Amino acid sequence: MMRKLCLGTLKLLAGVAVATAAVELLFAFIDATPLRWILPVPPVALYGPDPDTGYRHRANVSGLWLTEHRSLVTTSNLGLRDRNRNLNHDGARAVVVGESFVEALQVDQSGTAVAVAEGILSRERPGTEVVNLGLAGARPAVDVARLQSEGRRLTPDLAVIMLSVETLLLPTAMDDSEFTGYRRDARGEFRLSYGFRDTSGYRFRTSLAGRVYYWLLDHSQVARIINARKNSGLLTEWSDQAAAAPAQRREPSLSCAPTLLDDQLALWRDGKPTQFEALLRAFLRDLAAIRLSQGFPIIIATSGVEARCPSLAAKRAALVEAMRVRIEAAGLQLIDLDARVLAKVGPSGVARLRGFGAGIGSGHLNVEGNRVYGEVFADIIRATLAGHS
Amino acid sequence: MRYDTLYFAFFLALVWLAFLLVPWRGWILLAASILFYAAAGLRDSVLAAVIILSNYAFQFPIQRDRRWLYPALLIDFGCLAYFKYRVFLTTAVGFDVFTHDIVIPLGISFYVFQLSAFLIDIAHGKAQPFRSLPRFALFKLFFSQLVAGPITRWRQFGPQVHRLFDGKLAIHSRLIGLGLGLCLLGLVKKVLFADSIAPTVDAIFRDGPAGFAAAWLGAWLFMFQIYFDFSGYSDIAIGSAYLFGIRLPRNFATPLLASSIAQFWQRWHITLASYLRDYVFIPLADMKLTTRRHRIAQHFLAITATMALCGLWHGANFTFVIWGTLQGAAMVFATLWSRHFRPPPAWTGWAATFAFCVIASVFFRSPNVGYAFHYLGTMFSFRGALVGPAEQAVDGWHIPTDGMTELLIAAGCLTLLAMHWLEAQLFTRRALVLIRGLDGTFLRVLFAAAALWLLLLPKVQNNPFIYFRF
Repeated sequence: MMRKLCLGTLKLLAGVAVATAAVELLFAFIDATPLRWILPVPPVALYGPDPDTGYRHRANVSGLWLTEHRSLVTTSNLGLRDRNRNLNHDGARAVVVGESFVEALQVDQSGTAVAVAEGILSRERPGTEVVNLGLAGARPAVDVARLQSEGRRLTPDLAVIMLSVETLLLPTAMDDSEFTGYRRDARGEFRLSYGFRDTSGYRFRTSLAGRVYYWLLDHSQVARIINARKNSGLLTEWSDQAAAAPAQRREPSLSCAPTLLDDQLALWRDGKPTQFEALLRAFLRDLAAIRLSQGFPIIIATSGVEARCPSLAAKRAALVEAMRVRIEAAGLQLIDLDARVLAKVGPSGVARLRGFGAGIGSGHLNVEGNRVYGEVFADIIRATLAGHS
Repeated sequence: MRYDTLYFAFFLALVWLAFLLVPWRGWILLAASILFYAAAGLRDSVLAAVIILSNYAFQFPIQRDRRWLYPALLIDFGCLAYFKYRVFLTTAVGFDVFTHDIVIPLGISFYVFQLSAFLIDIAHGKAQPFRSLPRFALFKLFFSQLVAGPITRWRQFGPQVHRLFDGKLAIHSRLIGLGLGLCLLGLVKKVLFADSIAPTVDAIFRDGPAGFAAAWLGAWLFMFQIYFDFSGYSDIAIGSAYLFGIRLPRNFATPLLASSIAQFWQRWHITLASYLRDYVFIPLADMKLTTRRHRIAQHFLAITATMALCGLWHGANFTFVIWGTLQGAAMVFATLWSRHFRPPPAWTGWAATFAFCVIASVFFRSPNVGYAFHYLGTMFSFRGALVGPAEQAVDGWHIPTDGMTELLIAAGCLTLLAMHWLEAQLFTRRALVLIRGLDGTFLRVLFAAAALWLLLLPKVQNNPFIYFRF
């Protein structure tokens, strides 16, 4: 009886092991051949723990990104969504900070807006570097923490922060349970806060077991499958079942509702709501401190301020002016990124910079979008570096 | 509930465990099937309940008097016409009275056909009515074949339902191994092949092909997409039924290797083809409408009408009607050929059949007839084979011309065909004997674990089974 039970268990374990090995081999084969552009593969796991921001790219990771558009993603030797480079440099160096639009996982590394800008500028002035500090999901506090730590390490001559203005009004900007956030200190001032460091998840990721886990993610397809499923949820398809595949192309729609810019105007001009006003003040204060302590100019390139609505032109002008007053008072510079892009491609061209296939018009920047934004970044950096040289 | 999801695997595992542990197996499957269908929503469930009750009530009068068949079929096909074809039928005669965004009740085309076949069989003495409503409900609702077939006849499934409720249906352990193997095969077809091909097919048909090579690629890939998608679904349906000791009829037998159009329809969606043969074609061909001299013309008309109906069954669009009519015309042509000429060599027959299926599939995939003809025009224009970089700004989907890509695409297309041939080898007697010899705990766990790994793979794009929308 005991022997039969042992034999049955052994057969069961052997079945699981052989199936797992077969799946590992199958996906390793797919990943190593051009089949990876067609057949399903587990998505790359890019991120690891970081004491300054909560998470960051792990160094020298490579794999396929699948969401929105399939692309081969690599991270640099410095743990950035960037090409490999030395910390020391002779020519001018700019860094671009921002969220997923700057990170641009949907296109190959050489196609990101930052890489496009570097290509343009290095042709004009050999040795010029533009470093990508983009990080998906980065909130204002993460941008500040990242510029603080990477600024010290990379010693740039200029920093451009691509700021999605709506992130200044998100309650998650004040949540530090997973990433760096702004929390009130004892005196009621908003300060960078690192509550995530005390969570069990962060402790696991920084432990020996965590390091083994990341090693597995880099070397095992099966581990990537488990990780991807952990992130998406076991029963995620249940909520997707009602959604049909986007087979037909939808024309992107533009909203010019009269109230579209009201919240931003209230924040930047009237200082309301007071909680978010305090957060904005802290954000600008910390950037100004970095500028002073590290000695490089900082440009805030705002995005998400709709520039295609003639009916909102007056309200928009008032908002941009309010932003300019606040930002320049902190010793920083403002670039109206939406207006720059609009001037480059026209009102009808803006929507075509986003999304892929049937989803053109919404989502992240596509290849063309990254090219256009890259040219705009190059213009911004060129003008500022020329002024400082 | 989709079969290529983790939640279906959990559902299946739970039902299977309950099925093994609880003695009331018929009731377990009935409850699971009701739960499965309830996930489709209240409207679909109420409609299914109404149709079940109506068919249940008509069984006994039909057995006594065949004339009761007509009102019963009128209700069944009336529901099908209303819920699936009302927009198509009214706009076809010049009225636009219904909203266009209709949602077809889940599986209605399949269960209406299954129930109508059952009633016709009763009328002809080929089936026995169910006295028990739960048994009748399970016959119609069994979750493995409810949504997209196989369309089962009473003689194939009815006696098994009775044995299930009577506690006499034995689960052969070998059926479990075979069932898990079929589920794995179906998932491989769906997850690895059909879903991988889908984005390219969608892009080609959405943007329009820029040249004839892209057009042929789109049609070729679509033929394989729909095969892998639907036969993958059928494999999972049959495989999961095996887990409960239930044998459902085979629905596909490597149809893309058929060497004639008649053979193709004996191997593609077999249960629908046999339904149409028995309940549409034979009655039409046997009607005494013409003299003996014109009987052959009636025969040909019956073939064409049957296949046009087959097209219409797939969807409320003239593209499907044309697709079906083309299939019928091809069958008539093949029959005439066999009367007057010697049959071509097998490989010529295969190439002609395959090419015809690929070309006709353009109608199946196109959103409207005008688009389909435009697409076919591109296919046969033999222009813009490989669009150069200077011309890539032209609207439409073009084959990328970056060195090896063209060769890789050609190799990929041929690999699909090779996979289909390999699948045929899986179902040879020798292969089946080998699998039976290896059957046991190890093989079953191997199949189940491999299937689970495929289900764990996150889905990048939502690709429901194509036949779920029919």
